[in-house]
Amino acid sequence: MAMEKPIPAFYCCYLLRSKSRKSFYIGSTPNPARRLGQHNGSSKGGAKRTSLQTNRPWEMTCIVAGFPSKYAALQFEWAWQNTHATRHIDRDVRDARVDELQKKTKAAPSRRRRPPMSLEARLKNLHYLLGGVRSFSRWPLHVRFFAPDIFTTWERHTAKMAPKLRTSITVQLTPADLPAPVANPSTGDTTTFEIPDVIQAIPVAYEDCKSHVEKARSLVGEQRPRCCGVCSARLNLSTGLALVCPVATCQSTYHMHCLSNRFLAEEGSQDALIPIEGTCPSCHTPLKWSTLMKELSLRTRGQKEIEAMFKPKRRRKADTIPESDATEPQELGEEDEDLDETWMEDVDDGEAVAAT
Amino acid sequence: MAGATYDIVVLSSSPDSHHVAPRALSPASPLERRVAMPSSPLRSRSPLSGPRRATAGASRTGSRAAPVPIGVERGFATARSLLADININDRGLSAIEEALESRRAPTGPENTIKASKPPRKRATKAAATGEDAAKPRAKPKPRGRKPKTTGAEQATGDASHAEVVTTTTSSYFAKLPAAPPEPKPTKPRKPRTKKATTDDGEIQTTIKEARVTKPRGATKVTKKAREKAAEVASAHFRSRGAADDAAGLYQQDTTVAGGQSAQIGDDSIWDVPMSPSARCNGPPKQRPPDPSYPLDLDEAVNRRRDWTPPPETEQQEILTSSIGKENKPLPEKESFTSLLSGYSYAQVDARSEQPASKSTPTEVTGAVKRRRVELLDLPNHQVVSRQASPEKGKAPKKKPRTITDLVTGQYAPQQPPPDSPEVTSTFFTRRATAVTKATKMPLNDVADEDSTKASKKPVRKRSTSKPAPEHGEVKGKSKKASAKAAAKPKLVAEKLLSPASALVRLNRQDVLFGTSSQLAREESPTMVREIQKAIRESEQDAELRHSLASDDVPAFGAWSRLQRIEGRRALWKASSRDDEGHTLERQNVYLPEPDRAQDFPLLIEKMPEKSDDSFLDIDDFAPPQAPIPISSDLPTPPRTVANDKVVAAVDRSANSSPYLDIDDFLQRPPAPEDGSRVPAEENVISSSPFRDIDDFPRHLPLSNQPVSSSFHDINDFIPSAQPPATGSLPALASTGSPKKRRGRPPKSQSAIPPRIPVSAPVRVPEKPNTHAQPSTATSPSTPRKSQSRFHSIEAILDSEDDEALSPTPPRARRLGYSPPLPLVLDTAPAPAKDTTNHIVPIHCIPEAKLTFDGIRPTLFPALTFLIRSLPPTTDASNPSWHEKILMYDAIVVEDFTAFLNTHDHVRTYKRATQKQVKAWNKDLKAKGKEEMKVVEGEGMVLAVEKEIEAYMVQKWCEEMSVCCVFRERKNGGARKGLY
Repeated sequence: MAMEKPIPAFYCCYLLRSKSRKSFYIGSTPNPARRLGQHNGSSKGGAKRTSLQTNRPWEMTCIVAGFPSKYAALQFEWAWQNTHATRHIDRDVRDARVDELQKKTKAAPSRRRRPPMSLEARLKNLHYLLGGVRSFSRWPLHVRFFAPDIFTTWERHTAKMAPKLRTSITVQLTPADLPAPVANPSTGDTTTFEIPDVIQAIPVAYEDCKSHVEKARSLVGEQRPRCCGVCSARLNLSTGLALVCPVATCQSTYHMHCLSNRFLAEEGSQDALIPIEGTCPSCHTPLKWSTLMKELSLRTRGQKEIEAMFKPKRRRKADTIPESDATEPQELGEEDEDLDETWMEDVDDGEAVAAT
Repeated sequence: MAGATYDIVVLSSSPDSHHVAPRALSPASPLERRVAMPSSPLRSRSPLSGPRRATAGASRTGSRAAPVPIGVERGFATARSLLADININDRGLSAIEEALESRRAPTGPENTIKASKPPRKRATKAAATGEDAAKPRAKPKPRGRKPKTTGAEQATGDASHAEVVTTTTSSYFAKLPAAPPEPKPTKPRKPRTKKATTDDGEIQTTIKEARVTKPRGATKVTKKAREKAAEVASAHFRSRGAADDAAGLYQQDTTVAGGQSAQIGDDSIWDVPMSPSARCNGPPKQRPPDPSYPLDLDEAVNRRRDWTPPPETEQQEILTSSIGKENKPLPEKESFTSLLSGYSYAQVDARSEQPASKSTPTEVTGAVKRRRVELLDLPNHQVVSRQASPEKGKAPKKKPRTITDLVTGQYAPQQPPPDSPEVTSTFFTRRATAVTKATKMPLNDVADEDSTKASKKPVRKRSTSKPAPEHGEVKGKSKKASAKAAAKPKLVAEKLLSPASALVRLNRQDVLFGTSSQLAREESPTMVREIQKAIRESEQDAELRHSLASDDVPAFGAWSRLQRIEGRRALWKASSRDDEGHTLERQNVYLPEPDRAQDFPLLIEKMPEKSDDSFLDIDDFAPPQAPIPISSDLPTPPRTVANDKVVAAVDRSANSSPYLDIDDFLQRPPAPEDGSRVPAEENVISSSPFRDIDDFPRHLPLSNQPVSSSFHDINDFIPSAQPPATGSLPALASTGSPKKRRGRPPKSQSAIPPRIPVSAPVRVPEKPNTHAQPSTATSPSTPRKSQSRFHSIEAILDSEDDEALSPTPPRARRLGYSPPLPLVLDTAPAPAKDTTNHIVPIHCIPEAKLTFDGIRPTLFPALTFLIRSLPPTTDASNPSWHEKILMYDAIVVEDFTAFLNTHDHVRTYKRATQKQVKAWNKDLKAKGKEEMKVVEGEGMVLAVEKEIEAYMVQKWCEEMSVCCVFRERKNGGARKGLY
């Protein structure tokens, strides 16, 4: 298992909607733009379920981003696809929800059978997974909507749902155009579709944490003795698991344990293990735990990724994409296989099968 | 070959034209030729013309300068052919020579002119002429061949006999040239040659003129012809008509010779055959020196064009050159096959050239050709070339590189058969001796090993030495054989073996079967053979001994020795297996055991005096099975150091005061544990097996609860199971710690006899090594029993209580359970520390806690606390579980569970069994405490601790929002667990 990889720069689950707006597909990917291109046939590797030309272009209506690992994303994806069967929800609750969502009781509820899911049900499931399932409750997730109509649907149907989303889960609407058909100059047909700029602009590489990584590197390079900003005990940046405040002006460093406890105390969730967010004890900047962890994992496990991040400084713009490609393709390859193989067996109906 | 093809083609295509042509042809050289040139394009079959050209060129050069014109008319006229023909025909023999020379070094006006003309033209012209010549020839050939052959035979007996093709070709060439010259004299050769020379002035002049004009005309004509076929045709006829006039003489001559109705064609044909012989005889003499050089070049060019394979042309050139000059190393380099082909070509060339020039040279060339092959071998140049050309030397080396070659190669030349049998025989004999000398097994073993080693070593040396010389020989042979001629005849001879001899050879062959890895190893085939033999023999012996069951010890000794020796080479692993299908490797450890077996008799002998009835009983009881078990045990002996030590101890005991040692040994491992926990009596007995079983479950946190559950059952049953072990080792142990044990053993013994068959499975769990062999009751001889000896002592002790509780039933269960047990035991070997031995601490807990839901409220905080309390790591690359969780790592549930179970804080509970409770209460009593009792219905339960399970950990992870994952592919498609 690839436990030794750093936290991926980006991993998301997404909900696709077909051209007819009647079919949906839930998948996960570290690179939505590329993946959307695959679904729409402009590049190889799209899921079989999205290969029907009449369903194209698929529209990426929303994404759930921020998964701290591929496994996390896959679990969430499966749970979203199979909310009626996921282990992350207690069975009775599950069944109750299924009945509720389907609004009609089925005589023979075979667990294997996935109930047909309306858009509304999918959105509710998403909401429930984000807000009511403990397994995902402390993951650093965010939701982004690209389809305004779906966002309104989401708001309408989830506003009254019992477990509200915790405030740290941001829900965002960034309208994106429908994938516009691209007339192939040579053939004239419109089998390929443009990928909306909004989706293409999703930062898929480690760009956003580059400054953080640089700062940590420089601190480590200083080699001067440091102490934990929480416990004031000594701290070894190079050997131990020390955290560095991402704020450029803040020179504070922390023990992982100390800061996690501090954050948890701040949150008031003493029973939890993983903090979600907190403020830097030194500079009082609100910090996300995931930000710190991503930098830490890059520092401790991501030599390759860091090298890739800093190597091609010349053509920065062009490099961002290849960079992500460089680190992700392997992951992608794996997932695609895994998901398609194992999930096809369990899913009978015409619903989308996750294929990343 | 080429000649034949030509003939056929000509026949099909152009007979009429030829026939017509010849009439006009011969006399008017320039006109004819000119005319002929245009005609050729009509006929144009460039490919056909190509080959003809070559032959034609050669022939023309040889024989007839004058007749050429005839041929010209007949032949297909392509640009090439025209040029070639012009060169050859116009000049005649001398002209050809001159032309050749001129190419090299222009001489004479003609030559100069021609030389001045681009070589291409010449060549094309020559080819055209050749075509022309070939066409007439070709037509006549089928008919003419016979006469040709006759002529050839007459002129050149050897050459004609040797190679039909060559003869044909030569005949062609001879004919072609011959046809033109014939007209003048009935005596073809000399006159023609003479004529050629003499006539050269006349004819050649004309020819020259014609030629000179021809090329021009030819080129023009060809162009015209291509553009306007009709005109060409008319031109042909005109030329023919003109030629007819001039050729009247020739025709007459030909008619005289042939006398056929179809004067032209037939005459020409007839003439052709007739002429070649005479011509062949005549011309070559004069020309041989000159034509060889020039001809080579022309022919080479033509060949290259006509004959598809370029390399052959090279060879031909070389050969021709070599013929003239044996200098060139190239032929040597070439493979034999290439040589053969090259020779054929060379002959053709030579004939084409020489025969055309003169018949005698063709003969000579034929002989020369044959000789040449041989000559090539002999001459210095060749040798040098051979040496110089390392390729050949390398080639033989390369061959053996493949595995099969290596293997077979080793066999072919050498094998020392005597060695192997000797070795084996020595082995077995020594084994027997060793067997007899049971007490001194180790020494024997050593000796055996040495002997075997010694025997083997020489073999190896031989084998190694042999292959080397083989290679050397091969190399030498190859070098020697590099003389192509010599090598070829040898090969042929080998191939020609009579069927009988071939069969003999086949029978001789020793095919060694083995795995590729075996065969590929450096070991000589003889070694492999020997090993295989040894294996068979040893197996047979083993079988015999098993069946006999009496003299097991010796057999085992043999086994062990053989295996040791050969096992080092690891061949055994691949190929050898026991009768039972077990790998032989086990046997390696085995040596000590024979000692034990040997010890037995000693013990019996010595002990009976001291030993109690029980002891005797044991022996009696054991003996029938004992021999077998010993044998079986020996092969499977535990590899562990402990076992070796045991063995050593046993050996010591046998020699000196074995009992004490044995006891010590037995006691030692348990000693630390026993001292504290087990009562004095039990201490001695409580050594190995029991503890292992009991201890393992507890000590092994990782083991899943199902295992533990089974474990408990096992504990309950164990006592009964243990007795069987008493048979062998227990006796020893009892002897070691004489009196106290004696008291117990009798009980165990009494129980033992029925249990013995059952005992096997029980023993299995005790020693991990034995687990591999699942064999249960089928063959009592299974090794486990021997192992059981040690363990049995404890069993006896325990059995006292347990037996009373559960007499027989446990056996069956144990058998069933036995397989899982070994696994557990394997993981946690001897060290088992049963502080409480069988006593598992019993807790009085609320019944609700037995369920996961019930214990969850307490378990999860405990887990959380445990995780939080983990000290931070100092190694960033190896974070603690807490840190992993903080870093959002996906937690592998199995690993995490295993880790958690190493901590005592985290436990779940499982209802205690009656036995456990009893044991616990007993222990409490011993400590002066109250017994634990639970009243049913109060919600309290007596329970034992149980390890935490993966699903609990998973639930905890979900609760804590930790991403957890089951290890991939655990259950095949269990990937789903991820999600």
